[in-house]
Amino acid sequence: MAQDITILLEEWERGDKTALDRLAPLVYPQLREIAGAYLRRERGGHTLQATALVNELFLKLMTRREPHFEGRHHFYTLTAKLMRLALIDHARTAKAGKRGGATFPVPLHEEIPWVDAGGPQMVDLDRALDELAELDAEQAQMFELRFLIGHTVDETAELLGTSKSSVDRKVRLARAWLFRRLNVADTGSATAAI
Amino acid sequence: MSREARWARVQTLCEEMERLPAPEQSAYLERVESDSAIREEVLQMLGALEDEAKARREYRQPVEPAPTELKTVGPYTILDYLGRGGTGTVYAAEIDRAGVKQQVAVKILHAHLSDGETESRFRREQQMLAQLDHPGITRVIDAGVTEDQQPYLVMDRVDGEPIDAYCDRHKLTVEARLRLMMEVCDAVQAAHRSLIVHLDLKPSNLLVTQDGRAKLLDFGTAKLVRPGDLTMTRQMTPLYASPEQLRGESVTTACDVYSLGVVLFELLTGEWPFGSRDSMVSVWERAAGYSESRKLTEILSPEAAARRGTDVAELRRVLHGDLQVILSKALALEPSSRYPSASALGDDLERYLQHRPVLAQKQTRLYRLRKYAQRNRGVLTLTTLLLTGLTVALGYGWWQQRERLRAARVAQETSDFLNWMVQSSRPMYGGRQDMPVRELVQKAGAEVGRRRDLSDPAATTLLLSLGSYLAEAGDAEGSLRMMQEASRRAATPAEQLSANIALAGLTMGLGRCEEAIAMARNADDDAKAQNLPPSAKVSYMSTRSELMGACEGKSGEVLAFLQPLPDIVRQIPDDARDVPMRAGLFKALALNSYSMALYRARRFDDALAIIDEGLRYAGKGPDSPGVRIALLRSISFVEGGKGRARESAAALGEAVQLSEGFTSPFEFLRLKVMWATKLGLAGEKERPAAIANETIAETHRRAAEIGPQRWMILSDAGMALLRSGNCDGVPELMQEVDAIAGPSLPAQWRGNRLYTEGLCLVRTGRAELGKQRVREALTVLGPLFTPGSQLKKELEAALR
Repeated sequence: MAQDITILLEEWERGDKTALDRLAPLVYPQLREIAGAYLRRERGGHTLQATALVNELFLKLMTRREPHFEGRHHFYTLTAKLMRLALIDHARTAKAGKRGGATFPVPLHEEIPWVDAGGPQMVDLDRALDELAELDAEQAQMFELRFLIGHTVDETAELLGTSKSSVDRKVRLARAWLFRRLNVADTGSATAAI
Repeated sequence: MSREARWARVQTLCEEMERLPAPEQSAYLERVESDSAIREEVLQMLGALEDEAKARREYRQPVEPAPTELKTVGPYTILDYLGRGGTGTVYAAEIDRAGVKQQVAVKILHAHLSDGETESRFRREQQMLAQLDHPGITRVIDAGVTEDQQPYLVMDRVDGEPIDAYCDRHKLTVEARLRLMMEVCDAVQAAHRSLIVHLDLKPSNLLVTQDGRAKLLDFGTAKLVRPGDLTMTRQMTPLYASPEQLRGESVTTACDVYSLGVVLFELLTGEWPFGSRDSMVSVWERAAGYSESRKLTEILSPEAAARRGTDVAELRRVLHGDLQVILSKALALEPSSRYPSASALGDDLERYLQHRPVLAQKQTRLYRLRKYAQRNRGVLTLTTLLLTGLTVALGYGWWQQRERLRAARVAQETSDFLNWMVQSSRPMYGGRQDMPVRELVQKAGAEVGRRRDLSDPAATTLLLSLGSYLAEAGDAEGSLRMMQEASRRAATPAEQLSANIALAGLTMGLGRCEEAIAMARNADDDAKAQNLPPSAKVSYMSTRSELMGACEGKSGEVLAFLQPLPDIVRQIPDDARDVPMRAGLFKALALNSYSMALYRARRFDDALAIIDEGLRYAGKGPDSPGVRIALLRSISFVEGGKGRARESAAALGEAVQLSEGFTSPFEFLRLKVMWATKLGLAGEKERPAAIANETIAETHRRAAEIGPQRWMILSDAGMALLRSGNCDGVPELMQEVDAIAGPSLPAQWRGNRLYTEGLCLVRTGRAELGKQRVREALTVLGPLFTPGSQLKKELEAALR
C-alpha cells in the first residue's frame, strides 16, 4: 500500500488531480479509525486538538525518507485537503449515528474553538470554506494551512510566498467570515450581498 | 464589480473602519462607499469580527470528567483518578497487606488482550519490567488483567514534579540541571541494560522527588500497550520523539538518547529545539530529515536566564561550545551518529562539569582543524608578524611577566620601536622594495641592541619576540644571539626564566644537547622563584619536558613531571596578555606537549582528549599555522599509536601542506620525510619512496641553508625508504648521516640509524653485516624502548 501511496502522490504532483480521489481511500480506513479515537478522546493524551490527527495523516503519507520537498507547497496543500476530507468523513458518519459521536467537543484548533472537529459543524465549515475559496482561493488555503494542519503564521507565509502581516490579516477576516456563516441563521442574505 | 472584487473591497473597508474612532465610522462609510449592499456587508463583518473574538475569548476548555465508576482493580482499591497519559489511565490506589496499607499507582493500559498469545506476551514483558530495580526508576510491583481484559500495571507511587517545572521553580543553575540529567541518563541506562526501552521520555515522565532525586515513570509501557507493534506513533509525544520514531521505523535505545537530548535542550534554554512547539510542520520535517536543531545560544530570553539564576549574556557564555556539541550529538538525525548509549551522554555531561574534554568533539577534530585553517591561510603579513609578537611554534614557549604599571610603558615603547622600524624600512625612505621579513627582523634585532633609550623590559620583550621569529624562520644562530641578549637584560625572575628556557629550547633544536642541558639548569633555578605566573610555569614545563626526553634520556619521567600542567594551563585566562601569542594558541601548544607525553606512555585516548581540549582553546580566534602544524603532528602520532596508519598519514599530510613556505626549510623537510614514513606504514609503496627521494634531493640542494642538522632529515628519509620497502642506497645514506653528525649523535638517533641500516642490509642480502648493525641497535635503543615497542619486535625478528 505504501508503494501505491507514493505513486499516487507523484501523479498528484505532476498535476493529475484525480490521484487525490484514488489516494483518499488508501489512507482513510485507518485514519478514520484514529480520528474517531482522537475525537472521542478514547486515548486522551496531551494534544486535544485535531492537529494530533494531522500528524498521523502526515506520517501515513510520508512513506519514504525524503518526501517531495521540492514540492513542499503541493505536499502540504494535499495534506490539508486530505485532512479536511477525513474530518468531514468522520463528521458524516458520526451524524449518521454509525459510530457514536464525540462525547466531548474537540476544538478544531486553539484559535478556532468554536468549531468542534468531531461534530456535524465540520460539514458546514467544509461548505463555507468552499464558498470562501470562490471569493479568494488563497485566503481559504491560508485558513486550511493554519487551522487544519496547524502551520504557524510564519510557515504559512513562507509556503505561500507572502508576508506574515498578509497572512495575519486575511486569516483574521476569514475567521470572522466563517464564524458568521456558521453561526448566523440567515446566511443566505449575507452571501447574496457579495 | 465581480464578487471577488466586492469581497476585497469589503475587507479593505473593514480594516479602515477599525482604525477610526466608533463615532466617526458610519459617516466615513457613507462618504467612501456608495454601494449600500457593500456597506451592509461591511457592518455585518465588523459585527462578526467582534463576535468571533468574543467566542474565542470566552471559550473554556471543558474539564475532562474523571471516570469514576471504577472501584477496584484486582486486589487494589481505587482511591482517586490521577490522569490519562498516552499509554493508559492512572489511579491512586491502595492494598491491604496483612493489615498494612500500601499506597500504589495503578495504570490501566489502553490495550486489549484479545487472545492467549497477546496475554502471555504481556506477562513476559511485565516480568522483565518487574526485574528492573533501580533507585531512579519507579518499580513495577504487580500486574494483571481487569475483568474487561484490560492489562494493568501496579507501581510505586511517586510524589514528584516534572523535571522542567522542578528546575524552574527552584531556579536551578545550568550545572544543577546537568547533574539531574546525569541521574536521568544513569536510570535510562539501567533500563537499557535490561533491554527495556522507554520510547516516550518527556518531562512529565521524568519526575523529581522532594529530596531532589530524579525518578522515571512508565518504563517499558509503550511497548506493553501494543506488543509486537514497534511503530508506536500513536502513543508517543511527537515533540520528544526521534525522527526514526516519527517515521514509524523500528525503534532502539537511540530513540531514548534522542528524547533525552530534547529534554536537555529544554532544561538548558526553556525552548524546544526545533522552533515553535505549536508547529506540526517542524515535527514532520524532522521526520523527513530536514529540520536541524537550533543553536542553544540563539534563543535565550531574559526570563529563561532568570529561571537559571543568571542573565542572558552569562547563560550564553555557559551554553556556548561544549554543551552545544553534546546536544548536537544527542540530537543527530542518524541514530548511528548519536551517543551510543544514555550513559555515554551522561558521561559527557560529567566530563563537561569537570572541565575535561568532551568526547562529542572527537569526530570532528580534523574537520575543525581544516575549517579554522581555511579561515586564516596566508594572511601573515609583516605587521601581524611584528605587532602580535609572534610566536613559537614547535614547543618553545616563553612569556613576559610585567607588572601592571610597567606594562603600559613597555607596550608604548615596543610599539613605538616597531612603528619606527616599519617606517624606516619603507621604500620611500630607502628601504628595499621586497625586503624579506627575516631580514627586517634581523635588522630590528640589531637595532634593539644599539638603542640605548629602550628600557630593559621593552628590549627584553622585543628580543624574545624577534628571536623566536628568527628561530622559526630558520636562523637559529641569529635567534640564539637575541635570546642571549634578552637573558642579559631581563629584569624580573619571569623574564629571566623565559629567556633561559627559550635559549635551552633553541640549543636543543640545533641538536646541541650538552649545551642545552646546561642552559636548562639555569632555567631550573629561575623556575624556583615565588609567584611565577601560570603562563611562565607552563612555558618552562613544556620546553623542559622536551629536553628531558630528547637530551637527558629521561622519557620515563616526563609524564610525571608534566602531571600538573593541564591544570595550570586551565588557569590561564583566554584573554591573558602575558603570553607571547594569543592565549588560546599558547594553551593549545602547552597541552600539545602534554599530549605527546601521554602518547609516549601509550595513553592514546587521553592524549586525544587533551589535543581536543587544546583545539578548543586554539579554535577561539585567529589561527596560527604553526600551532596547527604542531597539533596535526601530535594527532598523527597518536593515530599511529592507535594503529590507524591511514589517519595518521592524512594528518601529517595536512601538516606538510601547511608547512611549505611557512616554516623553515629544515622543519618543512623533516615533516615531509615523516609523512613519507607514515604513508609507508599505511601500506603505500611508490608515493613514500618518491617523497623520500625528493626530500633527500632537496636537502642536498639546500644543504648550506639548512645547516648541519640536516642529518636528521636524511636519517628519517632512510627510515621512510626502509618502511616502504626501498632499500637501495639506504646504507650509504646512513653513512652520510654519520659523516655530517659526527660522533655526538644522541642515543635515539643513533639507534634509529643503526636499525635502518641493519634492516636494509639484511634485506639486500648482506645479512652478516646487517645482523651486526641490528644487534648494535638493540644495545643502543635497549633503555629507550617503551613496553610493547613495535620497533623492538621488528629488530628481534630480523635476527632470526
